[in-house]
Amino acid sequence: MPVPKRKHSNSRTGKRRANWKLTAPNLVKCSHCHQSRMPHRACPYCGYYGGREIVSIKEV
Amino acid sequence: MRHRKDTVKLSRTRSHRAALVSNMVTSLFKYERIKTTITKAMVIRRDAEHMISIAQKGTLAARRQVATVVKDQTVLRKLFDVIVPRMKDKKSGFISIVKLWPRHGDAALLAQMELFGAPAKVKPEEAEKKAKAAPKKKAEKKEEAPKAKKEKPEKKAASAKATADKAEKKEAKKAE
Repeated sequence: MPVPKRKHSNSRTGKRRANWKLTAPNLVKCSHCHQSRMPHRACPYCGYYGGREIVSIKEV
Repeated sequence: MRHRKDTVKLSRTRSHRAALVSNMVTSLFKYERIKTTITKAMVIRRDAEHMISIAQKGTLAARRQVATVVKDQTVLRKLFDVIVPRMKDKKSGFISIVKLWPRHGDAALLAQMELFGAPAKVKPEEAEKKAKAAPKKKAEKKEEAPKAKKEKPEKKAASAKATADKAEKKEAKKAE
């Protein structure tokens, strides 16, 4: 059965993982409350989407 | 290859899935506006729009066909007498889906499904409450409520800002 000949070093693990990168979300401004929100989603702060209130947000 | 695999199974058996669809479609017709996960919404939309299309024929056969999914008689009547007449000029796009936000607990993206021409306000009572609460509120509540209101948006804004800042920094790095 084929088995690894050498230990997979920490360095190699690190090199592989060096290419894992996070990308920042592309946020847009809500046209109603001007908070940053995700595009194509209802605004989580005011509940508006496409110029009207889609869901009412409970204020805590 | 994933050719022709168009069935979303929703981790359920065939019968469980059919029951889910039946219940959800009935709920959608009953309440006109429902909140669920985006994945379920996409599955239910297909069946619900199909039911409306069939119901538009208005025949007894159509009624019986829809009744195999919409098992609540009152909802079935509502579908034929209230919902379908509202959509007589439409051939498609009976339902709109708006994406909301990740659910607390399992982070599943929520979505709201809405029938075309559904009553305008989300919850009339809540809107009234809001309107009443703003000017009339008792002194005690007034002091407490605005504080709480302020705190939350600030926190959220802060985290949003943080992510925005990060994005800017990254872009700056890239530019270098």
